[in-house]
Amino acid sequence: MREHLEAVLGDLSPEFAVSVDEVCVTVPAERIQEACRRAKDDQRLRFDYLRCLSGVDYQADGIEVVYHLFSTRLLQKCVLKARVPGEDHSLPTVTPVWAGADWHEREAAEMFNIRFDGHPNPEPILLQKDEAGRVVPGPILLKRFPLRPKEPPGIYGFPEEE
Amino acid sequence: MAIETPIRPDMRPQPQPPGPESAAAERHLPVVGSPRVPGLTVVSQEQDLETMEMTINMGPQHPSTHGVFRMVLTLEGERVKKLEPFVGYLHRGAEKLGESGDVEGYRKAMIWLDRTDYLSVWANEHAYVLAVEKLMGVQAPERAEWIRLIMDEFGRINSHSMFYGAFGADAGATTPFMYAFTLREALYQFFESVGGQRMFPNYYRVGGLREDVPVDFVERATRTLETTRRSLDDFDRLISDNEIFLARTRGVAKLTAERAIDLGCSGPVLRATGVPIDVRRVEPYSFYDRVDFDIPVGTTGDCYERYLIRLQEMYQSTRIIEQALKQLPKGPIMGNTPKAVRPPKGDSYQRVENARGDFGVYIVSDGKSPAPYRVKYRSPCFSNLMALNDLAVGAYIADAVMGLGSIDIVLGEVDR
Repeated sequence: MREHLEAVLGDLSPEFAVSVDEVCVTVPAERIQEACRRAKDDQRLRFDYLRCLSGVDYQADGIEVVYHLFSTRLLQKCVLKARVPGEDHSLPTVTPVWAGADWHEREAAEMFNIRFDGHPNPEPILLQKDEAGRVVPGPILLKRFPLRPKEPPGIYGFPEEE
Repeated sequence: MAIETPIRPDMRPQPQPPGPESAAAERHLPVVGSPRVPGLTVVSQEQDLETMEMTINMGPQHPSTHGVFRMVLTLEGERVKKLEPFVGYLHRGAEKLGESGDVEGYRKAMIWLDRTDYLSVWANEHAYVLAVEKLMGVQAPERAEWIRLIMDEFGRINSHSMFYGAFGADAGATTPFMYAFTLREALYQFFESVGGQRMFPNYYRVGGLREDVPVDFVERATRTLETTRRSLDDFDRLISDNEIFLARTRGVAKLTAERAIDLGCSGPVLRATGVPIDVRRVEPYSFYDRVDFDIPVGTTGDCYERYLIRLQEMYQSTRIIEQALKQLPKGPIMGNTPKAVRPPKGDSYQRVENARGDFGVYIVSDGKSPAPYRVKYRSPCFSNLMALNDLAVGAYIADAVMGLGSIDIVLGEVDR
């Protein structure tokens, strides 16, 4: 499994790790679409099923987008990770690879204030937009977003974002 | 005493002075360029018949949307041309709340998890505790794991029976709903005797269970199992061969296997297309590798097969429970797990097969805080609902309702 991943993703400067029972591959954010495409198309991997797409906010270390993959043909699994550092959080979409990434990416985008370049319908899905076009109440899963407002609640129950 | 009747204006329709439109209407001819319904455009005028695209809003309060789902349909006649789904009305931020517990946060996160999918609570709790146990490297004692497996399967029967009732109501039959609720009441009384709560037990703990089951657990379970079997036979006899039900479901809202895998569908929606992927079989957790059961698989992927698969799965669940009750050992229900749960730094992902499909919990721990650093729930309905466009576009609006019903959505889980 790990050898296959090394052979397929070798030239994308991957970093390998093990998270409990799965092989974890971290690739640069701008190469994630290519990595996913290869992981799906390669005959030894055949990851045709995107199990889960989640974002994790590591604060100063940027935001990590985690792709849990599964192969319905070969019954194997692995994890792809991409770290987006800095203020401009953007990475390529994987919707051309798996159509099922559509809503998952929309959810991650609104919850973490990141952008998936090339997404066919980059609208918020669980949250909504106000009259000014801002997503309310905001990127709630970022660690700096407070659970309870310090000030009296505003119209949406959350303080205005700076 | 005489009652004086006030004089009211004449409300009856009054004859209108003849205009160009009414003159045309008398001759049964459409007026070219001026549609009868203002704001709609005429798309074709074949055979003196005006056909117009109509945009209607279904939900979030519509009874056939199973909760607070909303879809905007563009119709041409009775056919759905375009479907735009809207979710998020039930978003409560279960993940954010789960990450925010200050004391015993790992246990508090599970309380919020219970409220997401309110029909398949047991299996979801199982996924959560397994994910944390995997990260900590601990294992529940055998007795606890067997009880978890039994309760998971009872939960599956409960959820599928609710599907049965709601799907029957979608097809126009109200009796299935009554039958389903009779079974549900028996199951909830059993759940109450085990977990102390009917809907949200919060019964599993990292490393075991909250408390042991009642002393007459096996008798109670066997009795509930008999009730379930009788109910399932009734379910089957009631609508499985009903001619109207067959006409409403067979060949309706088909999905292909390739598309289902591409969209990330799981559970009965995926298995109806002929893909035998069941997490209990392909990635066995708990003791599912020690019990004997079959995975019902469809061939065409239509509504009727999704219904049949769920019915068969309930029978298989009774088989699993029967075997598990025979193997249930005596012993402790809590392992040597510290009371304050603090997993080491790292992440883990655990998937289980809940009633709707592949439910996953992704947990990231920073090694020091009492709550998970990040917890993500991969809900099967969220992915299954993406298939609605494939099921509904091109079909009649009544078939789109059947397609939505056959996905068996729980909006609490979609919106989290």
